[in-house]
Amino acid sequence: MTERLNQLLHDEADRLEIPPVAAVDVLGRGRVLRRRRRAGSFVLAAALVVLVGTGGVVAYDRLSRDSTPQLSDAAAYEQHGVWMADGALHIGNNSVEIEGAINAVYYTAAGVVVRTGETGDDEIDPQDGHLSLVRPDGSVSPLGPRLDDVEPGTSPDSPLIAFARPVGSDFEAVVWNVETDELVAAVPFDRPRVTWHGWAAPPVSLSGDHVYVSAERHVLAVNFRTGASKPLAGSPGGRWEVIAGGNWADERSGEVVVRTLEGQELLTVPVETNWAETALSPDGRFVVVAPESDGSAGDATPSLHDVTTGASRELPGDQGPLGWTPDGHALQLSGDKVLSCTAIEQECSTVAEVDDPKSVRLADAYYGS
Amino acid sequence: MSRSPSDGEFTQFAHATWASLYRTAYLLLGDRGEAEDLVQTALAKTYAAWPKVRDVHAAPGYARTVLVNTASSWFRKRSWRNERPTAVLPDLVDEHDPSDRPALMSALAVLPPRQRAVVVLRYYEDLSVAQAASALGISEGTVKSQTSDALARLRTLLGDAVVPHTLGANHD
Repeated sequence: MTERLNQLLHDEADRLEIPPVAAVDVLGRGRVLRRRRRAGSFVLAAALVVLVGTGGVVAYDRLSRDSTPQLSDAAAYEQHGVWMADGALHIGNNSVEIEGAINAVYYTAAGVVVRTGETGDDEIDPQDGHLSLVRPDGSVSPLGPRLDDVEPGTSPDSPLIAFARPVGSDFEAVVWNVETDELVAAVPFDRPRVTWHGWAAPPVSLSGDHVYVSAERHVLAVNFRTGASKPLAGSPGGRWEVIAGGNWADERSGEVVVRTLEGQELLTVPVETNWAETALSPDGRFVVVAPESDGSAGDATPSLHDVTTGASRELPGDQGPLGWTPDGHALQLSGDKVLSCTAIEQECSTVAEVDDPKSVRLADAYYGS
Repeated sequence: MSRSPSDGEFTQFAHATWASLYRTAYLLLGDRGEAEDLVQTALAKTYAAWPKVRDVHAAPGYARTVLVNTASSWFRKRSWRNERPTAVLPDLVDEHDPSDRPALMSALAVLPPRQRAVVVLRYYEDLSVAQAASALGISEGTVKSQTSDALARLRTLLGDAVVPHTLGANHD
């Protein structure tokens, strides 16, 4: 199926007139680099000695610095959300050390589902899909299912996690209750001979009683209570759709259209570049639109929009990724402080101060490519 | 390989890999001058890091990884993006060949840099998902999602004849 694209690329490359090798220039530049690296390594070694001598890093101050009374565990989870640093996961008022490398965190009403593996890479290792539930009170329970090479969907207003998996010659949409650690439903759907995605099964989103499967020709809306399924009207298929909180951020050339899953258009954001990447807050109330540079538009600034009111603001380039709490507060790292802010008005409270800001990862953050 | 190569040995290596690296660089960047600079930079870095290369047979793969990483770092630079030409077309068009060549390079130019790199590595270099992930220093999951996004965009630009609608990324 790739033959034509493969052939075009090879034809283009084979027609190239290859310039001669400027070996002298290459060697000259290589020698300069080698000298610089030798000089730099002594400086680095000295810096490491200093760090070891002072006892290393990592101590958190988890108490808020403002004067408001500490929230209950449940309220802190809703408003302060989850963030990670130095192998520990911070959920609301509590901190938990997680065994294995944290690869992903998914919000549910029962707490966060943590996906762990062996790699130590903060991106997903598709072969490591161990799951645990971390509750707002900091207690941890292992979960039965594994997510091997699949992308799940959750919702902060539901104790469920949904994912697709191959079963024989078909796929099935699986819904699991993380509070009770029990299977809720498994609904089969067609598995084509060739799929658009590279995972073991297509990625899914969860909203209400539906699992939204990013399938070949459209998004397939599977009602896991009844087993009925139908296409999501207007969805193009063949890509991973952005769906959260009952809303869908439809990325089209020149614009992003946010609509309800019933089809009502809520917000249209024009995009100056050809395409934009988007991220919805877990409750679907806010959308981040990050125009992608195609080499002609220069730098384009990401923006944050209130889907209901249309209010918006630009996100400064040095602000870093924006995370989310279950209730739609924006999580931000500012200096050495983790802040929880109302998204558009930017009224913030300090969640914590950290010693190593570079190690911080915010749940549901848009770490754009 | 526990010692630095002689200049003669490295020159021989550079001659052997130059054309292959240049072709990949051109597909990544779409500009001949930039491609030449990229390959020179990658080979210079390879020369500087030669003791890290485990054996001479691994050297071409190492140089390709350095080339891709260097291109990625260039893409992130503000000045590089602003100076880049807005349209990329081949210098010569074969009037007797009504092929998709101009459309291909223009379509590649529209892709964000990482997606373009994934397409070139997977569908020109024929790397597996795992190999592409290693070359780009990203996870296999990201390679897959970037592949699917890139193919969807190429499909709208080049049509189903070039990128069939049911084209899969799972051809490892």
